[in-house]
Amino acid sequence: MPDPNGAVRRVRSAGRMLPPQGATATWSSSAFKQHQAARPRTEPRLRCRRNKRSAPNEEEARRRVRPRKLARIGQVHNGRDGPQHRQARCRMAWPARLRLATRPVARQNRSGFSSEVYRAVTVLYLSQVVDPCQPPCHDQETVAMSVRARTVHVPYTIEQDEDGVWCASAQLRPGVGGGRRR
Amino acid sequence: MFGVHLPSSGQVLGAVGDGETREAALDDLRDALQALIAEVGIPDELTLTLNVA
Repeated sequence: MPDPNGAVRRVRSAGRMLPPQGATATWSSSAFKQHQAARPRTEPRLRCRRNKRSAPNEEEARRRVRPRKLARIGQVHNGRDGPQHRQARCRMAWPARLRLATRPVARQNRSGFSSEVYRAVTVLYLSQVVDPCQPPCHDQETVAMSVRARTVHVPYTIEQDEDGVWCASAQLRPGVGGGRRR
Repeated sequence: MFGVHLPSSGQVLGAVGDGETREAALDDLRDALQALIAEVGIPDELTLTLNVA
């Protein structure tokens, strides 16, 4: 007479749910929990299985994990560094010309702010740095001087003294200062 | 060795540079002017920008 649980037992014995030695053939939830508790704890699952397979050890695998793709300027997805949510990932799968049409106008998330609010704040912050209409303060001027070279034309005079040394002098304000150094 | 003239009144003066050759003197003067501009900023006479049609 065929065992009615034979098929189930064969499937379970072929996979990872193999019962321990001495256990009964029929599984119960408590037996499975005991088996899981008795198993040695495995290492945490890595983000990329391919890297885990090819890397010699875990540290190398973690080093090989590619960093997350950064968000573009002015595009912040709920304060994260990329489209992590399922809805955002689905939206990014569309072409750019269709993405705006399929995008929700305002979607309330758990924190109570929509993604539109974060984007507006980011754009305002960036535009404040490069706004040419505002008088530059010290920080903005320092940033502007550091990113681009500024050419200043200054008239100068050069002469050679009796010792053969060349001496050059320039004045930032004509008629004031300059001349030979003492 | 370049020199920068900074009077006590705060007025921007000038800079001098010397060297064995003409190019060396000019390079020394350029360094002195960069140090002077970094200290006191570019004077207004050199930063006027005009939009002429």
